[in-house]
Amino acid sequence: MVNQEENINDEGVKIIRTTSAFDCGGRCPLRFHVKDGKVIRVEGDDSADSDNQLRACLRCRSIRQYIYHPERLRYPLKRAGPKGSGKFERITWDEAYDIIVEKLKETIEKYGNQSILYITGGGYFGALHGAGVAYARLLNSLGGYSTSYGNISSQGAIFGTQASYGFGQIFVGNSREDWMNTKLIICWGWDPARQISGTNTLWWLIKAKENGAKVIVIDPRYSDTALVAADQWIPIIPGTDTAMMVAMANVILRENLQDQEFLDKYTHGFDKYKAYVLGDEDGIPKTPEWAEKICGVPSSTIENLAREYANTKPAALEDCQGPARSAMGGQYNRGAITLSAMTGNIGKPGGSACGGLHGIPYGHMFRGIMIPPGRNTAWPKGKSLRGNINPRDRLDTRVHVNKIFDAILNGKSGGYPFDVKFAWFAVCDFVNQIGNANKSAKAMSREDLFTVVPELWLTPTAQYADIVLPVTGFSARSDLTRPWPSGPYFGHMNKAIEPMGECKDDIQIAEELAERLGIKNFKREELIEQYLKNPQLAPVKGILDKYDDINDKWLRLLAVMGQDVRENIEDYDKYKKEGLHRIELKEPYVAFKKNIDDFEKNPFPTPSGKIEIYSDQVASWNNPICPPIAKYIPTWENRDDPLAEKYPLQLISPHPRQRVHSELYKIEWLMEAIPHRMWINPADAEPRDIRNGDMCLVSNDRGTVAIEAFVTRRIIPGVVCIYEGAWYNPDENGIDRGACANTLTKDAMSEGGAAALKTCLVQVILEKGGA
Amino acid sequence: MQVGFYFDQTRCAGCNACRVACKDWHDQPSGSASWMRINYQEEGPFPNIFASYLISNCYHCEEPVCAFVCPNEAISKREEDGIVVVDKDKCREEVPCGLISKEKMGASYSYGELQAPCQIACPVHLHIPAYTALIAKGKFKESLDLIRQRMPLPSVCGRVCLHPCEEVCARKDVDQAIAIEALKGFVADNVSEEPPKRLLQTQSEKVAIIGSGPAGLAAAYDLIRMGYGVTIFEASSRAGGMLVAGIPEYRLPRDVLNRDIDYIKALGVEIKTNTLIDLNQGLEDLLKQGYGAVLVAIGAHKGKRLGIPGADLDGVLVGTSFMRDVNLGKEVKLGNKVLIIGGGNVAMDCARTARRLGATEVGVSCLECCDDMPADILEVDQAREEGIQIYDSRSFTKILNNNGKVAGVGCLEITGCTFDDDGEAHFDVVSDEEHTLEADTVIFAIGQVPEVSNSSIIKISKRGTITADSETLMLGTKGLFVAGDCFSGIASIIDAIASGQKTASKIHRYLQGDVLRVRSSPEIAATEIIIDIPPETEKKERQSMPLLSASERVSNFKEVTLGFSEEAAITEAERCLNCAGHLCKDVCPYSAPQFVEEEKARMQKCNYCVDRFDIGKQPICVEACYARALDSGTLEELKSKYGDIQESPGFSYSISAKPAILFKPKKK
Ligand SMILES: Cc1cc2nc3c(=O)[nH]c(=O)nc-3n(C[C@H](O)[C@H](O)[C@H](O)COP(=O)(O)OP(=O)(O)OC[C@H]3O[C@@H](n4cnc5c(N)ncnc54)[C@H](O)[C@@H]3O)c2cc1C
Ligand code: SF4
Ligand code: SF4
Ligand code: SF4
Repeated sequence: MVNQEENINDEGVKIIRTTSAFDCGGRCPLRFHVKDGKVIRVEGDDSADSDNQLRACLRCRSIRQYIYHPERLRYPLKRAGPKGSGKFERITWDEAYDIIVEKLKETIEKYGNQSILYITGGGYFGALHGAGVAYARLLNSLGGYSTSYGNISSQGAIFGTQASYGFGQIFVGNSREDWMNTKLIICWGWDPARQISGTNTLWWLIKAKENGAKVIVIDPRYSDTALVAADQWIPIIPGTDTAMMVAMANVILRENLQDQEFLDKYTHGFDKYKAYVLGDEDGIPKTPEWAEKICGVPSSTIENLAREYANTKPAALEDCQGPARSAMGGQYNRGAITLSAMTGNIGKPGGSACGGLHGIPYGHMFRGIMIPPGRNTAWPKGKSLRGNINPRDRLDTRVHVNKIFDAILNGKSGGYPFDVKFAWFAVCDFVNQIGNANKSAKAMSREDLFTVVPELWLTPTAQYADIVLPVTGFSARSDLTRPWPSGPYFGHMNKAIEPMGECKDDIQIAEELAERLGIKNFKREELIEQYLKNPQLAPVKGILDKYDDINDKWLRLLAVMGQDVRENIEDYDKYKKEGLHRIELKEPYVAFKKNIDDFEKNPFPTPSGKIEIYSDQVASWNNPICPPIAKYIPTWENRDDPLAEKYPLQLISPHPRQRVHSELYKIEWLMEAIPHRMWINPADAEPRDIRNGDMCLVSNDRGTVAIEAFVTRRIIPGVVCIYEGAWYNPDENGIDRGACANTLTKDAMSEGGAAALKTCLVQVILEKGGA
Repeated sequence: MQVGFYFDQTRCAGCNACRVACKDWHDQPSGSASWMRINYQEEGPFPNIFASYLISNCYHCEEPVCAFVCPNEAISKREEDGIVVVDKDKCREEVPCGLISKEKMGASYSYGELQAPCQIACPVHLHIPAYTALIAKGKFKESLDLIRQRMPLPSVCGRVCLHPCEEVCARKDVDQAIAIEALKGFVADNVSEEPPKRLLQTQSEKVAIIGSGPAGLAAAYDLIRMGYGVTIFEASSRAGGMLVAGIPEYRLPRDVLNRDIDYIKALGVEIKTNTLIDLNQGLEDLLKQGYGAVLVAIGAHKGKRLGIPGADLDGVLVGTSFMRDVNLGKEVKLGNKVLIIGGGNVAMDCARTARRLGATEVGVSCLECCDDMPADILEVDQAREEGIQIYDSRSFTKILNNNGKVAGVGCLEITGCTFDDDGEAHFDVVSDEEHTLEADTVIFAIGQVPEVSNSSIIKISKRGTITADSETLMLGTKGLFVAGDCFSGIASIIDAIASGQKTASKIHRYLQGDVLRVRSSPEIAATEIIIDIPPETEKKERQSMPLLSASERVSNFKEVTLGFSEEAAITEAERCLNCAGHLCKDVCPYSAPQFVEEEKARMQKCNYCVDRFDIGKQPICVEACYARALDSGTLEELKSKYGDIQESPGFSYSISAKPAILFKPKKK
């Protein structure tokens, strides 16, 4: 038996190298100090070159409070009060399994597999223990389930990217070190100082700035990125980014600053865009003056920016996913791509392809390997959707992710493809994390709905479950991890502690249920035998036989199954021991460089073979609010909506820094460092007699939250900001005391499939002065 | 060797990774106490804002003031590397540091947060126990620096402050209050200071201040330290307001006053004397001339007279004018029998000044009985020693007229007197029988109002003071602010200083485009602080202030008080009970010491991760900073890597200890 070489010091402290598995963008290397089976301290990356260290942020620095928090679940629970009341009683695993098995059987028998709704999210990312796959495999073995379509985070950006660059094109990022080649970085709605767009992104931004690149931040907030890096901050009204981009295009065209050669050679349909921009299409020239009224950005600022962007070569326009999480979705990413094409910055070092996804195809989470979940036979196999990017075509059998609870509430009579009887939520906290939390809570309170939630915490979603199963956290697991969107590296989690209480791994829970349900060949031991029958994998058998632990075997197998892991990692044991393998790139990766450098051989995978400024496919849908070019179209709940009279403030809900979405919410070290507060400009606060630290009520027709005010000039007047992820916690009057942003947001989707969470109007009043 | 930190503010994103890592490594519980703190600063109006973070942990000072004051000697500096470490076993062990009663205070108790009664009673909340502790240890310069951190007039307030702090001193329950005021005067007199360096103007705005009294000076001092340009316009030929025009020299010698004023001027405050500002158009003109804000701090100089017959006679004077004329060297005509009407300090000053000018019979008559006179008891005693008569419990009916000259004052005996909301007095008269106090000169010292009238800009209240929004401290016109006696009505120097400081902070907010209205946290009154004095506390008499004898002083304006000797000062300072404890926290210029909320909480602070240091590792905060804003090493190493030391902004407390943090500031 090969044992991991253990590193134990005089005081009996063992150092375990691992990474996190949160949905933060990083999977930072961590060194757990373990003594007597307990993590007693955490250190970060210690690679010799401190410049290249992948330094963990405050979230993982607080991980001990996360692991040992008194509120972590330790036992299976059964509901012992009304749904949502938070009353549960402890039961045994056997009892829990019996109840679930019986309910599953009954539901399938009475209502069929389509009435089982299985929803997963981003709560854990690892190759072996990904809970999403474990239960999907279980349910597929029983005949399948219904589920959702769309990614809560990035669907808008995915739409924009695919409409422009072609189906399946998601690696639109340059590796971060390419910033050293750029002269201008425009962070448009992107705040990497707060959100981890890959470990070290902020550090590279600082380095690029110190290397002489000018940094401009366009954001309704003077973000921390603006604070550290910006030479210029351009505050903009949310939802109007596309209008400003179009006006920049107008300036560029009128002054003939565009890279016409690039446009001619690589793009499709630019003339249609030009006609729109100059006003030939609708008689309205999209001038900076036109945009000023929409965006709140002075026309001279727009003009100067357009010139600066067009004249500075190369320049990296960095869009993101936040502004695309809105009613007009990915139009903003389409607009950014168009600008980048007009200035010839796509496929060039120091430039940027835009699209908001930032990913590079090395060690990326999207390329991670898992045990496949098998086929879902609950729904007949429809027509192939390859090449089709229309979200509507995906809703025949599924519900949009932001509509899950509307579907639970209204089912077929509401126009959804199924009625839900049995709901299973894994690695997600969607009552909290999708629009309209009050509606979600109402849906989850349906008495005839049976809900299972495997969890680490009694989250707002788990509060409504009938059965809550306690699962292990990442410190008690070994797994293969990958960051998104940039690394590039592979992480290796190493189990540091034994499961707490009666917690189990999801994969184990699925297996134990499978056994009770009489499913054969489900267990890891059985499955691996089958896999090793595959002639391609068979040669590994000899190696795997040397190891006892089934998880260890699987991880080694998965490492072989993953092509990029196989290609990059020669010494698996070294990788495991170090908890990390860095992928060395000879030169910075530049998205679409291959296509641009050798276009003839590498056309874009779009219908036209070019970058589609104009998408014929989108045009064919004939949807006035889903235009084939990047247009500014006013939406519901923007500032001109008549509703603005009642709810005059726009709400944005960016990622929090002190949490990973809703994860880590309970961690005191984080909450005290960065309290959950609403940003509000003095111009909005003063007439409402709101002062710093006052408790405010923020409301609209969907709900009311109570939150402390942070009165700051760092946000544009007319906009308030509540960071997402705080836990929904309604009091007896229905006021959400936890101040979950989604108590206010709408459960709507954009035409491109984005969850429209950043389009939201609210009113703010003072509840009580003085904290 | 001295190890230290390097902090690059241009890189810090305020992410708090350092703070959380520090908490994890040192196993600090949840709670606001944190060895590593990240201060946030926001300036400038939207959208031209400037924001920055500033980390502050321990600076591992070359001469750690915290170590000087710790009564348990729990803090020490390691010879070999200069790390300032705390011995937690010693902290609060031998000598109980902090006597506030946890049991009796109940929920409001929080060690390390509650202040001593004296500190609460002081309108500017001076760190009194801390500066006395520094005096007790012979650290006079450090003590003076600590005082200057909070207020600009230590020499003045070391002599003529009304010292509300001493009223509430807990030591009164043992013997007498600590001589807080005199100790301040001692350090102000006994430290030889270099004039401070002129401060750089870091803000683009300039502020105009009308009036160079304590309110104006205090506002100027704070504003110049915040980086503004400051000009004071003073109508009089001499700067100081009532300090120069009102208070007599025998209580506040002018060289002493000028020492404080010169310090403020050296920082860059310009004082334009002989410049009367028209309080209507003149204020707007200043705004037009480019001053970002104008502060009206004109004091209350118009003395009141009673509306009784004879009040306008020749030989009837008004206290403030009388004092001003004397103080500014004008000739004043006095008779031999001078009677002052009024029982406050101004009355005492008039009486004692009249005595010094040669009046042979001087009396002070007032409504209150002797024990209730508003004047300071020491003042009354000294006046009596100088032969001044007190005629208490009287109301006044008329001034007797002898051919157009004053002959005396008609009085009624009273037993009590109350004032209604409008300031009208009502008396309980003993009998209607009038009697006369003879005099050839009568001086009214019954209060003052600002010398200003209603205008389009200035609105006067019923009490005669200038009205302003009580929260924003702004007049009806944007950019015009008010402070001091002209707003509050006649108060005291230290109140005027506090008022000036408060308005300065509003002016700062105004100029930064910030909200002026802020909620202040509820304040606990000095009298609510309950102290458990150890029963074994020995009595130690208060050091008495040596005075010039009455005969040596009645004929001249020599300073009456002679000041403490060094020995007396140290003995006196040692009497302080240190009610609130946490002296280390109070003296530390960076508030590095932290206390968690638990019983017998020990002081904690950054220890430079000594356990890591000793095995050759960097502090965890340095390793955790993903913006690479932090570095550590010996000062020599850091200097050669990053250039020379710069002191952090906002830390203007010029303690002699040199901070071991190299700092690269973020520039606007
Ligand atoms: C005789 C006397 C003795 C006192 N003794 C004490 C004491 O021992 N302890 C104590 O705490 N308090 C004492 N006080 C009270 C104390 O002096 C005042 O409360 C304090 O000085 C008020 O400060 P201020 O800055 O508001 O105004 P002031 O000190 O009155 O200063 C205002 C200044 O503004 C100037 N000014 C006015 N109008 C204009 C204009 N239009 N243009 C330009 N300049 C103008 C005036 O010339 C003056 O210099 C005493 C007061 C008096 C009268
Ligand atoms: S910074 Fe404060 S705590 Fe640290 S050594 Fe200096 S005085 Fe003491
Ligand atoms: S040096 Fe160590 S103890 Fe000091 S602030 Fe940094 S992490 Fe905390
Ligand atoms: S870790 Fe670095 S960037 Fe973050 S707050 Fe601390 S010093 Fe600033």
